Amino acid sequence: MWILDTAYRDGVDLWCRDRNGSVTRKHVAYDPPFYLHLPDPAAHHEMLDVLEAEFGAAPCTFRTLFSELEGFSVHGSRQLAEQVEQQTRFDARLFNVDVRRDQQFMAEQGIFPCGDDYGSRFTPDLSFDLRQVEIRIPDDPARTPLCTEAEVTGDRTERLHGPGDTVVADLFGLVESIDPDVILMSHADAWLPQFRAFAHKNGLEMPFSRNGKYRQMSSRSYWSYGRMEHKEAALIPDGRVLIDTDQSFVYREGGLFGVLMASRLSGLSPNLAARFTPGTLISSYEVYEAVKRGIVVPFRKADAETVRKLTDLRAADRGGMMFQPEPGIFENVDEIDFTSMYPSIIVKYNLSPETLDNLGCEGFLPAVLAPVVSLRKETKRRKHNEARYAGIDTLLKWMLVTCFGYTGYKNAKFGRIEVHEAITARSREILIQTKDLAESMGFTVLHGIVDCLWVQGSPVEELQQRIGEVTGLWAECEHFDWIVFLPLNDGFGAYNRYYGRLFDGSMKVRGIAARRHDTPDYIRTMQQEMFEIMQEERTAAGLATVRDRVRGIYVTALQELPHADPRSLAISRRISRTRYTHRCLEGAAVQAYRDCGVEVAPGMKISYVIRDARRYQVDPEWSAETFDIPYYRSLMEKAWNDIAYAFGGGGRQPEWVVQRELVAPDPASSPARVPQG
Amino acid sequence: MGRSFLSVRLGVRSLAERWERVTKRLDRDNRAPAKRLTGLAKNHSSEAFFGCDNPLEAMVFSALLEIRRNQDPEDDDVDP
Repeated sequence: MWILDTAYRDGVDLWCRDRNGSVTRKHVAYDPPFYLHLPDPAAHHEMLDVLEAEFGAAPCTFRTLFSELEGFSVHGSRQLAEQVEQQTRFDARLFNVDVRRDQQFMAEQGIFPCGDDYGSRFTPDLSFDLRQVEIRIPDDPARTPLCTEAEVTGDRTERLHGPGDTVVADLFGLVESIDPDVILMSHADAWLPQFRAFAHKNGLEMPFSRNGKYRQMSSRSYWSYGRMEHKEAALIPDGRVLIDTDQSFVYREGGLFGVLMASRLSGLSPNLAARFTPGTLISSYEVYEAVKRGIVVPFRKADAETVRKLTDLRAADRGGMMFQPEPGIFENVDEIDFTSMYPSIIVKYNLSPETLDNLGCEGFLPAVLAPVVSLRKETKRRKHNEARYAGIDTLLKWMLVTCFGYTGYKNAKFGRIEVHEAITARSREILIQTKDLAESMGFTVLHGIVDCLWVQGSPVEELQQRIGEVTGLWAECEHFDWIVFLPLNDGFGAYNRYYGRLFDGSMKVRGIAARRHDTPDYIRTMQQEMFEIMQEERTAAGLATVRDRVRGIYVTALQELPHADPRSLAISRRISRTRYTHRCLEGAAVQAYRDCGVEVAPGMKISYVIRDARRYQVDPEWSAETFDIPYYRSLMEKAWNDIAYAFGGGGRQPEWVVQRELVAPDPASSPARVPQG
Repeated sequence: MGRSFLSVRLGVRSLAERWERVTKRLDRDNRAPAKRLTGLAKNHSSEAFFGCDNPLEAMVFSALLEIRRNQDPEDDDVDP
């Protein structure tokens, strides 16, 4: 039984795919209770009488992360649980209230989606033969009610073009006739409500669901890792996997394999796994594992942090270790990177909310993370030879990165800030230990960030082996023929801005224009072309010989800038707010979107072209016809300065090349306009 | 994730900016050594944050370390 999709509708619906490829729905009656613990049950005897009479409350014992508790099982909804909370003035501790029921059912039964029931969840192989169809729609759903073009790729490719109602009706027909298991569709979550409105109006049946039913997921904006994100509302079809290829982070990073693995590990339908963040996925995975192990999941966290002095907090909560790099260019450098360092520390040092006060017991977090860490090691090893493991590896990387962050999240079901602090404390010791070890073996440590060291010396294989022996953690090595650590404005080395040529001839780039998401394509392409030349050279001396060719790219790009397509100069940013107290370009872009009738929400990505930076005049990407040449020149100069630094001989003073040396073309001959004033 | 309060590293940056403002107000002869001192104070702030709870402590440690490093080794033999 291969579970393709799950849902809860007065019982659990399992959409199972057999070996012949036919998908059938199995409905299982299921009404699990939530659990209630009261410190003083006698004080609430009247409420308990009602719960017993109306909701089948029965005394029981259940196991939490920390201990066994006496309490009651109650067959009721979340609304009832919230009423109990209020009635008891939040004395009641509640468990298993907000666990997804289909997920809970599968965890209790030991089954999971996207895997054979006889196979292990923790193997990197995914055996499936799903009928897939990819729907590409070039129109923008925010500006077009119905698409006028679509390309549908299944066994063969069909192109639809014409009036919106005809294209959408034909698209419905194609989906119905192909009957796919998986639909990969651009902007699916934005299109589907529009398609449904069209279907209702014209008496058509929207064919994306296998039984005509859809689950509604509302839109929301939220903070994640210091930035505002936005999730579109979604209509989720039953019995079929629908992935929004533009919005799904998991699909973008891990592809279909990543989505299916996320679903298998978390026990969620692939439709949900594709729409959730890695943080929600690792949290769901922990919930699945807790239910499977008979541990109840708290509704609200009760283990609040104890009061501590600010000095104690500062001493305890320092984050990861950094060694500031000396800016410059360095040859023959090895990057030593600990694989999944924080999760590995959790596993190795048995760090879990319940083990901090009870060192002897086996921790929940280490127990559930150990198989995921092992799986990541396996996919990381395999992806070098087989590309199909790369998506799963990336998905696991993200899930494991966020599992550490969740230990410090105030609402995490199985988090505790002291665990977060203990993990970073161990990581600092390990990085310093590794640095000492490297230096004692004659290596020079150039730079270090949290779980990564850059060293010069040899033999690095011996160092790698010794690190494994001393720290008990696995570290991978990447050799750079040369690497450039860039300076900050004050001349000190930046922690996270560097680029270099790897041993295999590829470039590794961090923190500069070519890597940033908001860089206009025109500038990104310019920097990438520079790197293509620079990566031909294996030595710093060789690099110096290509300086003029690289600079030539900059000069040409500057000269051709006035003739550039305005869309290639679009800046794409995720907005954190929709109201701005000061005038700024981002605020102007939000207003420009509104002026075009497109509503924006915090966390949404917008794409705009600067028409006049001084006057804060901005156009949405689709309507841009002119752009502010001096503004874009300044962006190009910044991008060039990062590259020019490599030709400065590695000293502190880079070879800053100013644009006034260059002959600028006549703006009058160009379609672009130079703002006046 | 975790909490948000001024770390030693951010504290060093903020103090260094203050020292730089002071530097600009010094007379011309003292500006260069004061600028150099601020640089020395920032030099080891990343490593110092591991042990120091106070940004000022980290900066003073870093500056003294650099000054000591740049001293002539023969100074060690001078009888105080």
